[in-house]
Amino acid sequence: MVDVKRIVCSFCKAEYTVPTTIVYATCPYCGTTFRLDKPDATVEHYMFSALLDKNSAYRYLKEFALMQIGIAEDFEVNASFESSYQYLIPLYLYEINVKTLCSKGKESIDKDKVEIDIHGGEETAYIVTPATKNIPIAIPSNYSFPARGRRYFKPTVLKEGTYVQPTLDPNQMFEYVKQPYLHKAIEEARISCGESYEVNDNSRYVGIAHYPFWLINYRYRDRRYKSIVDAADGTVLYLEYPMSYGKRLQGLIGGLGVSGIAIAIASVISLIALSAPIPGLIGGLMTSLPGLGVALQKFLRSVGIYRYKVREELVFAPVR
Amino acid sequence: MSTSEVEFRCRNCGGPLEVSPETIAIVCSYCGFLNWIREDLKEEVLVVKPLKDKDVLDRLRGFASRERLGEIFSPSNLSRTTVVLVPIYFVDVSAGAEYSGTVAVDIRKCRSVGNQTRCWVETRRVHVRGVYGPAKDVVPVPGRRGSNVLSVKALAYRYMMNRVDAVPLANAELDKSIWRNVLSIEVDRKIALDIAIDSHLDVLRKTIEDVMRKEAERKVSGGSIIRSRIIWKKITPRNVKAASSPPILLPMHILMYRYRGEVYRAVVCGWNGDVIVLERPMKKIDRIIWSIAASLSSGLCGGLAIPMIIAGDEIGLGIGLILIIAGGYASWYCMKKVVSPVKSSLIGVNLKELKKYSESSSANEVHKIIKFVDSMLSTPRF
Repeated sequence: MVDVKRIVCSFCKAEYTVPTTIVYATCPYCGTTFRLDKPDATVEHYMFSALLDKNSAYRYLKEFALMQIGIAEDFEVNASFESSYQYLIPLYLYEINVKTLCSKGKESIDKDKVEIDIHGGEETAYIVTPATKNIPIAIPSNYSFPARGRRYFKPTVLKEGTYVQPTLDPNQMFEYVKQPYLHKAIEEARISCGESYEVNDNSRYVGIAHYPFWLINYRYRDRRYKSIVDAADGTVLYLEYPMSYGKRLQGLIGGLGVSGIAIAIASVISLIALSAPIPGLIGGLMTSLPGLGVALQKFLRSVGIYRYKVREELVFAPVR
Repeated sequence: MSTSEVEFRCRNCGGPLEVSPETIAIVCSYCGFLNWIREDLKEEVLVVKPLKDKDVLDRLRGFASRERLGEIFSPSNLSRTTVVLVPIYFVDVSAGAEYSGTVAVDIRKCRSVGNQTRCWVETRRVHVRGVYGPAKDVVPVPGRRGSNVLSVKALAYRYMMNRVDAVPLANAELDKSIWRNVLSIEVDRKIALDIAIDSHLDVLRKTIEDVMRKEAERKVSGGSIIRSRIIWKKITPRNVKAASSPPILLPMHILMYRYRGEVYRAVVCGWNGDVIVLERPMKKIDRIIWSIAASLSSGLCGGLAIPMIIAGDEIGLGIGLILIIAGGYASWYCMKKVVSPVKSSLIGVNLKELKKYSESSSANEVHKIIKFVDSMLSTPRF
């Protein structure tokens, strides 16, 4: 049972209850967001628009599923949409801009050019982090929440999805996320000019943004499967899909074949080196086990699982 | 109401503009007029005019025919096509550096004593100093957050290699179907300069560290060099100069084809139709090649490992264990490739060159930070 307390909206004066653990509250009546400990402080609250409705998201996940190896042959025909839920996940946004200038250096900065006599260090980045530990859907730990076009928060979205409250202290998070950049810039300055540098920190906390995700359930032959899709641009983060028995068996036979050939090669080498094939057989078995494990794992699963991979985004991603 | 929200309208036709808080400039999707949200940052924006869709598809088909994929990339299989114009700054950066430091160089020396040869490792400390550069480079910086993907960088490198004409956006007379696909500019020149200098100096520092190690190794004689490591260093970038182009809109087509129930994707350079990234399902021949690699690598390692272990000495045991681990890893890696659904290839661009700027890119840093933050969040993650 979560502890709650009654609060009064700083804009429309409506009363409502919120968990005691949250940092910000968004009024369900007028959409105003404010900090519970500083109700009069200005809060920049944004959102990333859900450009995909549930049908488009389902279409994206179907197309993506068709790219997975071993998927059931009749997936496209026999898969059907069952239900969907939209989650609005809170994020904190930060701009990092740290410069460590060597004391003796001269700097000349124009609108379109920069000249620096002696350079210390500098780091520039745009950081997005989850604003709560209590995220109801599994999101990849290295997801960059890309989306195109952040907008000011509109209370109408509260009706469209499950709104997750931010619970972490943004100032504490700010210090955590800034640390590695500050440390690197200082390190660069120390390497450049020893201890005679000054830190110029123009980093800032931009605000909170809510990011939409679809949790989609679909059915294939009386079994339910789950998927998580980025509602802002259609990236599939998680996908369960039915595997074809025939293709799984092919994969296992292939894996056994590969291991068999590896063991045979190892045995021949051992026969040449030691005039005995058994040591090589043991060696070949040991080295081919991990590969066989991959094939066996694929075979034993009747449900395939895809999890988002960063390296795929880095090469091939819709431009946002 | 949450915070103040101003509705932005096009200065030319009055149509609504999709503006976000970081938007600096945006092309109206109704009339194609470039609206500056931040008037203080107003400047000329250039564009490389995109080819017509039909010409792009024809060029892709030509490429596909040469790669024996012609049947797949035919117009009847086209499932989806998108063209976007990505704003990119090209920043000329130049920097030299003074360096000094101490490098520890490990060398192996051997001496014959009677019938035996005795070898040992000696460490020499070498002091190095000098001046490097100036090192000059052109660093492409996307004018948007979240566009730090390799396909965009590859597009920028294509432009730098080809140097096609870019014309002022006002004179370009873009087709109206493209207006809504011009990505808004979110990064101003000053930030682009900062990003470019940061990237260039990171690369410069790594280069100078290599120079210091090599210089120290050259100064050492009387044995064979095993390795060298920097004990302390001072690298002071000097005369850092950076100047940026105005934002240049580069067109990029993203196409999806469906053939026999499988999906193929291509990212195509928007001004000449050259393929930049091609993604296709793994072919049978690819899987067979990876399977052969798995068999050979694990078979060779497994076959050599046991004789080494049986040889009896410590070195043999060590090498044997390493071979077992290496063979196991190779078979796991190759089998993962066998069961991988797709194969992505970057075409015509040196990946090493691209990665040079990816290493200090904000995309990778976001991932590092999220991992760092994750360690204290203990959120259910995968």
